[in-house]
Amino acid sequence: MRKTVLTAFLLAFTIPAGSQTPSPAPPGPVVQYEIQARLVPESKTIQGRETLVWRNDSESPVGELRFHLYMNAFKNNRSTFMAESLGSSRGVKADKADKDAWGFIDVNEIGIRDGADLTPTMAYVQPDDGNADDQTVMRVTPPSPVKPGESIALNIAFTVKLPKAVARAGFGGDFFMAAQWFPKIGVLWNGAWNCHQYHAHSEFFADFGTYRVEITAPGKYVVGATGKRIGQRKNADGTTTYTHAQADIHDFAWTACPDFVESRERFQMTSPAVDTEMIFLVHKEHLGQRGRYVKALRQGLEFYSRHYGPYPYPTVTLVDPAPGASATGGMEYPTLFTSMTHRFLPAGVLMPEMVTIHEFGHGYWYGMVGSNEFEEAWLDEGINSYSEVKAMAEYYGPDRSLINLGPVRLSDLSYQRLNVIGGGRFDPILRRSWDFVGGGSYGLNVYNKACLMLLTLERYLGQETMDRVMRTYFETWKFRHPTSEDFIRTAEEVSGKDLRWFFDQALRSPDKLDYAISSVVSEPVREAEGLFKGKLVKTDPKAAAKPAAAYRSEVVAIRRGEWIFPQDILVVFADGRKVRETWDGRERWKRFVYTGPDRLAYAQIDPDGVWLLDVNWTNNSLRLEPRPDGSRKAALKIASLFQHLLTLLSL
Amino acid sequence: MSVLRSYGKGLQEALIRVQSVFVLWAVTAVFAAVVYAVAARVLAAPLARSLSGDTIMAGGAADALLEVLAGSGPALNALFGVGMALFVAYLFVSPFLYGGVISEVVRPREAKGFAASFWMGGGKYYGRYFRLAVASIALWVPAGLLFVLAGRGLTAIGVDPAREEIQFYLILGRIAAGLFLFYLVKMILDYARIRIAVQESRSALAALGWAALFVLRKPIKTLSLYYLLGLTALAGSAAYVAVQAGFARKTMAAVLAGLFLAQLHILWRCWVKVAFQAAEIKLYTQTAR
Ligand SMILES: [Zn+2]
Repeated sequence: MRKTVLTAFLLAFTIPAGSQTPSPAPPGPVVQYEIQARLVPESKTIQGRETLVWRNDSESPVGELRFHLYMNAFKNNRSTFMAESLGSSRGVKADKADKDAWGFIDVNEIGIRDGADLTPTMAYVQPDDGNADDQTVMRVTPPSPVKPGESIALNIAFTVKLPKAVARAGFGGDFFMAAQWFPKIGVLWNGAWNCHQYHAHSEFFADFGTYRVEITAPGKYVVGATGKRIGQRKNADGTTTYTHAQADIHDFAWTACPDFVESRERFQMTSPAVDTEMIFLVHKEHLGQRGRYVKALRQGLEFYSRHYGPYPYPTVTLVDPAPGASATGGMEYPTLFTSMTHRFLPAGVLMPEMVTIHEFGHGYWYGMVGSNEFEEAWLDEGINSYSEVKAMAEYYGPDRSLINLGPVRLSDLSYQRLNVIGGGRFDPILRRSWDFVGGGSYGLNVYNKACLMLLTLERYLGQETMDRVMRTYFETWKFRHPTSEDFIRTAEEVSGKDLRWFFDQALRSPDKLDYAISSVVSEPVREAEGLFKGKLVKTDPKAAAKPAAAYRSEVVAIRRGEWIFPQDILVVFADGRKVRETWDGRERWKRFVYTGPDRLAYAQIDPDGVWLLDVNWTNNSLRLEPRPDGSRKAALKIASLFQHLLTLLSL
Repeated sequence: MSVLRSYGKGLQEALIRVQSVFVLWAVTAVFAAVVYAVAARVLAAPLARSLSGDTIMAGGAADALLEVLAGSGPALNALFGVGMALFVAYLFVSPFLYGGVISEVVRPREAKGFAASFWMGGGKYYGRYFRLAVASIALWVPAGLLFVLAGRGLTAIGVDPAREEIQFYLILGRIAAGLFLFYLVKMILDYARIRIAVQESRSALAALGWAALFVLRKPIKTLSLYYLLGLTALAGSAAYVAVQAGFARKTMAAVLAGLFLAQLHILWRCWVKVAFQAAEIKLYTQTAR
């Protein structure tokens, strides 16, 4: 039986995201989850009951339903996740000898509310790779299709065994991070199920909706979760049940640990208007670091609200994973994220700040702008890295925003650029997450290169235009599912420029951008010499000794990479005269010739440093006369280091 | 008492044996000069005519230099190869330097001059010191094993990974233990060399065994002398780090001044090295009977 339910009573439990939220589509959200979860710490399990109301938002009837069972990625080494990652992911190896290390989810029962039992129709499917051993996607078949616009309500009973902290979720000691933990329906997108398997280098995708979740844990546990706490009750068996609810989100995560120290602070700003509660769950070993988290989260809230749009949710929760469970750190969920630090981490290593701002920022790029992380990961990671680099530079200094240890400094931007300069060029930015040649290439492209691409675009369009692009993109696509095409269209519409050429190369090609000045020459223009109309003309030796009256100078600019970007070229003469040239950059080279009273000093391509994606800036300029001081200084530094090493290790 | 006396004597001797100090410094300088020549060539190719060279000179060094290095992989590999080859070569030169320094320290004042004793001593003991270096594997291997086993033992006891403070101190403890073992072996080798020079013993292995026993019998004396000298070395290095930190190198003159400062520091290190040998010889002659 199918039921067109809803929903007034359900909505009463849930907290709307705020006044800025656009009025939801009239029929209500696509998904409405109600879940009861009970944590059993001894067995590292969660006993769950879930009621899901799902609406067919498409134009055609739907005969089968698909669910993510992400936890089964950690069931054994035959899962697609484990096979792709060779058993290790996010720096943590599953300890195969330890039964406790593995994790899984069992769906014990699934049926239509007051209707047919669908349990017998359950089957695992593998839409991405056909790996029959992978159990991360499940299919059930209702007795009759769900018609367009109609809803189906399902009751599901499930058991989760959490793995030892691996790839975002799991336990470490008595710390528990429940993420990607419940049976979660896929997205019916463009008339088909978009419900990918869990891959080693992929994240997630889901529909927006409402969640109301009851979490029961032993009384000593401090619990944090997505959304606002709307209830809390002590049970006779010594456990406590916490009820959380939130609308306009597409996932729900929670955490529990007796060693969390909880603190709450209000964040308010007037322009734009934001009023939210910051909840910090900091492990007791890290209390000395809490101030850093608080400061960074305030900065994140302020920066993103000011640049993209006001933070609309009533809460934001920062989770500091227990030491030893760092695999769960640095991860985003709606209105909740995990950061990371170390008890003795020096203030000059700005990792907790960077991770906090980055993961909070995902509340925008992922949380609200719900792009498909499986297929176009750059839309959340790249855009968010771009925002993070800008925020870090604003709050911590553009030249020291990542490392600030006395003379040792590194900016977040330099870090991104060094990755791109030194990284391989095998994949384009835009590619399905599991199609990258490896985890390194995935990270390099969707984080670093995409970040540089957007910083490049910002320099090309100008700060003010780029700010409008980002604001418009956020405003247009929040609580929706944009694609790369939507981003490009927004950028073109707002800037009024054709940017197809830019994205076709930067986004879709694995090649590189590298322009250079390959030669500069400047020679005196000599008096006429040789045979003219049969007569030999010679130079007067006295005249030759005098300084030349004019010089003929040549500059050759070349394209060393495959990408074609228009270029500015600055030519500077010894007397300080400057000439600016432009070049469409299409041919492999272009020569510029000048005749004038002075020698050339140097030529520089891209003098304003617009093309951050250019993989070699050293070859962007060329002097006529060498000036080796810089290279000598660097060589002396290296030699001096070597000399010190000799005296350190031997007589 | 004998420790402090040996320490004082060692420093005093090192002040007298300045030629030895200069020879040690000069050898490191020659090696470093080769590295400089190669590095200057490697870096001049991309930098000498680029404005990036100016950026490095102007002090925005870290980012600009990293950019260059990230873009010149093969050249860097070549530079690294040269560095490794030089380092190995230095290990072969090292026994000669030990022979020279020790001969010079034990030379009676009235005996023939520095050159004769340093260079002859270096040559005379080279074979035995080299064999000693090979024989020292007998100490390095057990020391390494001890280090690994201690680490395994701690892992086996299993400290709760959530106790970050304890974990951190355990790591510090392991580093300290590693350094202790490394320098313990180095110290035993010092006494073995002294034994060979003073007793004119032929067998490197016997000298090594004797030195190990010597350190085992007099752990307080030998270790406290060693760490006293070590602290002396550290004090100079700390002063150097402090002075050079407030030193902007934005002109070639300033760069050269910085180079001069660095050489003073290397000289200091070489001086302490001679003091090490001299003080240990004193302790040896006073206590090893
Ligand atoms: Zn991210």
